[in-house]
Amino acid sequence: MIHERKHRLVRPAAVLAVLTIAVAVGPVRAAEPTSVPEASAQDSAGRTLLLGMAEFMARAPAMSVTMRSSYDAIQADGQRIEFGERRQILMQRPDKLRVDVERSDGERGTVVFDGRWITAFKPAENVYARVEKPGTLDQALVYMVRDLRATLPLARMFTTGFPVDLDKRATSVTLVEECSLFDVPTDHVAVRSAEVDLQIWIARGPEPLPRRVVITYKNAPGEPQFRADLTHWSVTAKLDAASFAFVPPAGAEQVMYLAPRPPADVPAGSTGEQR
Amino acid sequence: MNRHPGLQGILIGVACAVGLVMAGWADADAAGRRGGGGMSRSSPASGGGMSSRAAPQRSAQPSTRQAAPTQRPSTQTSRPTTGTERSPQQQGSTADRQGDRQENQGERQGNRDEAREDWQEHADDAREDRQDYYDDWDNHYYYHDDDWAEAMVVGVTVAAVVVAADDYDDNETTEITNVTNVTNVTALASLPCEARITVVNGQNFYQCGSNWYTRAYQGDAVVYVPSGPPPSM
Repeated sequence: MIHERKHRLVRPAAVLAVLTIAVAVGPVRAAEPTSVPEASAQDSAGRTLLLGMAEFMARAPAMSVTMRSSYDAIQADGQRIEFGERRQILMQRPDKLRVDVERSDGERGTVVFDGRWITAFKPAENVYARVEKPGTLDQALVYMVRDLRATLPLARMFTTGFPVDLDKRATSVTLVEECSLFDVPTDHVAVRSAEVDLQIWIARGPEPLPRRVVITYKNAPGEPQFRADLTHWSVTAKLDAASFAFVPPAGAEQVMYLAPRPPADVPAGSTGEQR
Repeated sequence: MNRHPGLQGILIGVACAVGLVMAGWADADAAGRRGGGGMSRSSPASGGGMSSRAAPQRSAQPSTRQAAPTQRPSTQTSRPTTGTERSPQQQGSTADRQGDRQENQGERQGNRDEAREDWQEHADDAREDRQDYYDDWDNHYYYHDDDWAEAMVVGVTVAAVVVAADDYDDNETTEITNVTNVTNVTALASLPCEARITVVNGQNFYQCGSNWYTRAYQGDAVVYVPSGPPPSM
């Protein structure tokens, strides 16, 4: 009885104390447990969208897209100048690619990979160069960008290793918002890696393809950006084989293809291999 | 007649200034249409790569790290060299010599360890560079214009004769036919003169004085590389 009485006396005091503490720290406690799961869910949702897009692109047997891109060139005096380019990209796995480019100053060029030969063509000079590089599209893309120093923006997005690569590089992924400014609703996803900040607007629906990409090179002087709007996507079209066959125009001159010497530590013959 | 000569001077000055500015705009516009407007298109962002690690600032050789001299007060202590009596001092000296040998051994071991560390660091650096080279294949921040100082021909040439720059003989001429590994080809963005063009077997040869050039593809651009005269000449 004594025990019960004490218990009865203590209980209201304890409840009052708990309520007082709860009221006092309530907002803090309430913020903590709700904010953390929300951030995790946001990150998880963003990563799921990001990797869903990358997987979809990696599995596509063929793709065609128009890329209207621009980038900042930080001048010696610090002035930020934007240059632009437009590319028509056709690719068919496992081993076909064609890129037609027009720069903002009107210069045009074409690069074709037919599974065996990489050919670069400049119509203004009616000059082309070829290098034999049999292999997959992945290998050709690496070889073109790294060894031939061809400019193929977002080349990594068109390799089958893109999902794994993206997952490995992304240190944080955030779903920013749903964006309604494109031809289809998109999810705006922000990605951070050690080297770049990346933003991608991914189309909602059965074809989660990127509609816009912005890359900030935060480690480079002036933190220049690359921006690309990607339109006229097609992943179902059977592409014409003739698109990947380069036929030199009349009078075209074949010239040498130059490449910078790879670093001394890279074993000879190892270029063009993707790891 | 002119009641405001100062004002007239100001108006003329303003008109001239406006004219100069307009001319400048016209020049800038014309330059822009020509391409570039004097602005550099070069940028780490131009390639739209998803990697952007800065180029390593490492030497090709292992580091020449100097080991800090160890403070060894006991190694230079004086030791009597005569007499057979082993004084406590001599006994101490014997202990010192033993200590010296051990320290010398320790020093040699330390040097070997440091040399091993240097090579290990070099190997690690080289491995990192190779890994970067493989992983960061779309890293245009890593690439530099001077990478082209050592260019090699990777595409087929058509009966061309290319002058390869050489450290020992700038005039060395190298015959190239289907060669895939020629170093130090020096490319020019434009010709140094209004060249005379000779076409041989569909290939253009550009002559500037006694120098001949052919065209080549480098990156995204058509460039000129020194060559010998056309094969028939």
